[in-house]
Amino acid sequence: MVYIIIIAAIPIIWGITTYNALLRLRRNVLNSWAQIDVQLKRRHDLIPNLVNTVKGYASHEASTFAAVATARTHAMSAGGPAESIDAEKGLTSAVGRLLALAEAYPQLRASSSFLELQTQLADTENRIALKRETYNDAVTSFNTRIQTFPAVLIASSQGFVEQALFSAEAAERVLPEVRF
Amino acid sequence: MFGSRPFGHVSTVLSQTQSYLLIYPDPSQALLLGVISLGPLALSLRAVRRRRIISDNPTSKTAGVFIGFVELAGIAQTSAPLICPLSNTACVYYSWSVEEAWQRVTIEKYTENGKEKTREKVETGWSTVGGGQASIPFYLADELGSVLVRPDKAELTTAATFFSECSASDLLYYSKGPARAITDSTGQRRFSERAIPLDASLYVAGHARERDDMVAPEIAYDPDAPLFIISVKPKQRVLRGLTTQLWAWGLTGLLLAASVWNTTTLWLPVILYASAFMLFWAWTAFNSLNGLRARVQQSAAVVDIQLKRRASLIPNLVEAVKGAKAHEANVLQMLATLQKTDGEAAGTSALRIIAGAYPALLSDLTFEQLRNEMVATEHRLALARNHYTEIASFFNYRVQSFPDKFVCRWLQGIMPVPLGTARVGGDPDVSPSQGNTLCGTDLDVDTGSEEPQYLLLREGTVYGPYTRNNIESMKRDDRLLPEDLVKADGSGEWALCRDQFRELFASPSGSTVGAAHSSRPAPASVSLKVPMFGAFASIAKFERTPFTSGQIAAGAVIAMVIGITIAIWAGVTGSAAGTIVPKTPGEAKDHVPPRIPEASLPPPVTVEPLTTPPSVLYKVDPEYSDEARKAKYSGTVLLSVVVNTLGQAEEISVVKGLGMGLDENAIEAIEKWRFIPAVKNGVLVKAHAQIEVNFRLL
Repeated sequence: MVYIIIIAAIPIIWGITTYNALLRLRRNVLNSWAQIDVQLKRRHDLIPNLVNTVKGYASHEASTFAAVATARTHAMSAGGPAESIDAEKGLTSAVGRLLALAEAYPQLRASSSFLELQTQLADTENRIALKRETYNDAVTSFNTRIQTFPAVLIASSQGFVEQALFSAEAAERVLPEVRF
Repeated sequence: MFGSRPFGHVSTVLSQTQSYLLIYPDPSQALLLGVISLGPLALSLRAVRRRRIISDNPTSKTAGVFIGFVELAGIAQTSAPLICPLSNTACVYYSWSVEEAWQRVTIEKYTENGKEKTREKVETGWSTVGGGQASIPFYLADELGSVLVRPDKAELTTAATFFSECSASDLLYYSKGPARAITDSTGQRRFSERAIPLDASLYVAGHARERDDMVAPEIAYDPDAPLFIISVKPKQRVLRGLTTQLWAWGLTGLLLAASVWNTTTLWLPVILYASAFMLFWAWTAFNSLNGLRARVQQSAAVVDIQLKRRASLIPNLVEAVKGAKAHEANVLQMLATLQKTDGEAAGTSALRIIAGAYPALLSDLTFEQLRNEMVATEHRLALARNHYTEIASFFNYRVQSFPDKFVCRWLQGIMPVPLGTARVGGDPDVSPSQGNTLCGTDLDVDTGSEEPQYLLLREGTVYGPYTRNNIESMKRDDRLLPEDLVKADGSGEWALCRDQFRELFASPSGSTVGAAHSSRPAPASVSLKVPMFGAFASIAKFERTPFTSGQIAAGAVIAMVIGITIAIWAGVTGSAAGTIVPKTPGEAKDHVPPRIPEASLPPPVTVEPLTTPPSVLYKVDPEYSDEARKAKYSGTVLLSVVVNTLGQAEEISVVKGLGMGLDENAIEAIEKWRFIPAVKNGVLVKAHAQIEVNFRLL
């Protein structure tokens, strides 16, 4: 009788352990997705600083500043991944124009705050790429685990479904055209 | 624990065939030993799993490390190494121990023939009296860069750096060992040390994660990772070691299972053990293939991330250049012609030519930063694509090889990742035939083809194989560019399409193409590129099969339970017949997977472009001299110039002149012309050119 209880307990214990493991992996996925947003937000927050630094030296370039502000608002309010891609591209473009202003203002180019902001922007881009890789890794671990036998037996019934990997849109796959 | 022969009545029923039956001991004992033999079986399958993980993964370069499970080969480096205590060499990890020999004589009592006797028994041994270990994080460096490795909790395979046995009179005895001797010491000590020396070539397999202190990856222990190995042996030796383990444990288990029976009944435990091995191996293989499939998808996603990165960099580049030199029209023209340069990543070629023509930009920090980012991204993109190609082609090979083929067929959820076999001209979202078939013999259709197959290479990615018809239809749809590289499947040389398929490119095709010939705009190439890689992504998502994995797994469990029950029942009742000795499942031979030979894949960014001659960016028409106009003179002046690295003409000299002041006017005009300078071995160089200047009266 005791043996039967012991033998019956094994799958139950295994079930609980596996369920907890799947929960943990899924939480990792959601956390790492949030991290990407954190980095994107960081980029959005760096931009006003950059604009102010440049304004200090090139106050009359109003159109450029306006373009950056519009692009930033657009990017922050974009809904859905497709829209946000275009918005982020527009923002990158506007920021690029802002950075290019430095060519005409040697004091600006030499100012340490400007250089630091430039470095931070480039840093943020790298961080975003790394966070995306981390997200993909979390998704891969999760997807692998729910497909592994024997976890696969309980995964779908408990609501653990395959998550999507981060992928580039078709428009981003092609080499961006240099167009004027 | 089972009482006396619960199935005894069955065996009495079959007793008339007892001469054919085999006598078994108590079933409970058999079961116990059977269960014990599962221990080595489990260890053997653990070795199988680890071996598969290591051999399934291609070795990456340090510059191509992505967050996830990676394998690297490189050299251990650090600026502040440890010093090994015994051998005094620089190292990043050491572990040393001192052992002292002892000998003890004891008096032992024993009884013999009812009388108590004593005898002396001598025992010897070594006991550890000292030792220690230490490790530091170090950099694993290869030719492309380095990455931080934190060796805590890794499985280390070290090199022996010191070994010495000495007696108390040696200097070493007390200098590196404790001052006090142990009880019963014989005065002999053994010093041994193992370490990972500095500059040792290492093989590292582990999980890469983000660093806390900078924006870069590091390799460290992760509880979810399948393994974390740092070894001084190369990958092949590690694999061989695991194969040995696999066989050793497997045979140990077999012997344990077989030892239960006397020699005449060997075949039954062998059957049981082998079937248990096969079932559990199938389970291991299924999980391992699943993990591999997930890593293939992850690898495709890494490429996507780098594509996104590049997509976000080019607008910056454009803006920077526009901002800097917006008033120069020829810059825009120059940029517009920079779509493709043979064999080079377009982004870096754009940078190189701009920098060559406008050296003032080189001192611009914005440009400098952009250039570094661009180069790094193109690099990483090429490395990521290489990784995907390798891991996907290995996955294809795995699911088609014995014995994985049967696991695959049995568990239909796994399909191979097609490598560039998108149907030419077809809808990219429709998966090619391979995506819809089950893994198995259907996939062997491609390899038996008699028709010559071609592979295409563009921007570091190999597509194909294509038949001649595919190539022709691609050319007709303007999806094949003359600058693409083509290679007949099986030969070793890549050649330009316009040379290989001269007859296709010789005469301009029909009217629909027309003016587009002159500049080959990017959209034509885009349509070839997007569907193929897009097809990878859509197929890499793996369409669901008729059976869900859950159903398949449930079927597997039921099959296993039934199988084991039958085996046990057969064993206990002795009703099995015949002398079947099943072959133990063999590992597939280590085929070299059909890799694209490295020599034909251009290395990222460092590829040497073909020497491109200088070309004209824009010209200025020469002016007629009054003399020549009155004389209504026309003709061609042939000039020899040297095009310098700034795209200007120097050392203009007349080879064949016309006279009447036209030569001077021609020289004047040429001085205003702008050229795209020649590129040789990745560097802008001066080059000679001959220019014809036509004078024509309107």
